[in-house]
Amino acid sequence: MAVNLDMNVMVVDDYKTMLRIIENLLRQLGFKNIVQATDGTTALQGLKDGDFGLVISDWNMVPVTGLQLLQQVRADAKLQKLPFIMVTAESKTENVVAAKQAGVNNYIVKPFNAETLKQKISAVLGAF
Amino acid sequence: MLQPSAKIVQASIEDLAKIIARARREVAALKPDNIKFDHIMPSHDELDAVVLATEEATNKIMDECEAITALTTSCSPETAQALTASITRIFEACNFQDITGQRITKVVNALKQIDYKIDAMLRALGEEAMASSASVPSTTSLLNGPQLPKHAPTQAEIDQMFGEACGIES
Repeated sequence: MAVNLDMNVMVVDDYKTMLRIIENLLRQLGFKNIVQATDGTTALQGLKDGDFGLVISDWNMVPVTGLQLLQQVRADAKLQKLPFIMVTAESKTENVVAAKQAGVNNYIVKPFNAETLKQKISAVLGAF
Repeated sequence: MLQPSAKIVQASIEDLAKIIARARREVAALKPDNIKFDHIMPSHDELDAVVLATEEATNKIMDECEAITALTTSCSPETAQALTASITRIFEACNFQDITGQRITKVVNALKQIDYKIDAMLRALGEEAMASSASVPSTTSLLNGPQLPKHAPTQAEIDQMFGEACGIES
């Protein structure tokens, strides 16, 4: 099934510069509806209130980390199956294992490029 | 009258007191408060300025990229495609700002630890001679920030770790 490029995508990062980079790369890949959140609490509320097809989140945020956001998403009946990709500079084995155990769908290490972003989205949502 | 063994203990204590007094003088001569106020605190400001400057520069670069992207609609498809590819690579390169910011944050945290240790040392050596038993504040265990390039795994290695993690019971 083709990826719906009109789906809402939530991008979460406390670095506004990074939000802008990811949004632009997503637009270059064809995604049209991108919502930004600068913290996990705002993101979770937005996800609960809206209809999203994908979350792309940083890990290293305060007060709610990306891992905690993922755990909260997986604990929510409405959101538990929502595709969730972690994009982070945290690249130690224990980070990847913890994210996987929490139910992340894929893991991108920073710095990354548009091709890697596309590959990982394709791995989660299907080719586009 | 003191017993011989008590005299030995008394002499040892006096020696120890002299050593401590000398150590205090030597540490005081290093002027640790100068390190704190003349070096560590200004370094925080310098590093904050680096982060701010790179952030401003990155945002200006992205402003221009978005302006160029808007202009691609008036170009031929080939030119628009080439421009879009170049702009994508510029956005990719802008990743540096986030990574740089995180690395600088690690340095700032290291400076804070040094600052904390100096404070504890000053208190210990001061007139009040407070014993510092407070532990250094720890960060969340999994927040390590970006690794140095020589230690950082590649995306392929991350993919392998990720694949291996699939076999772990959650």
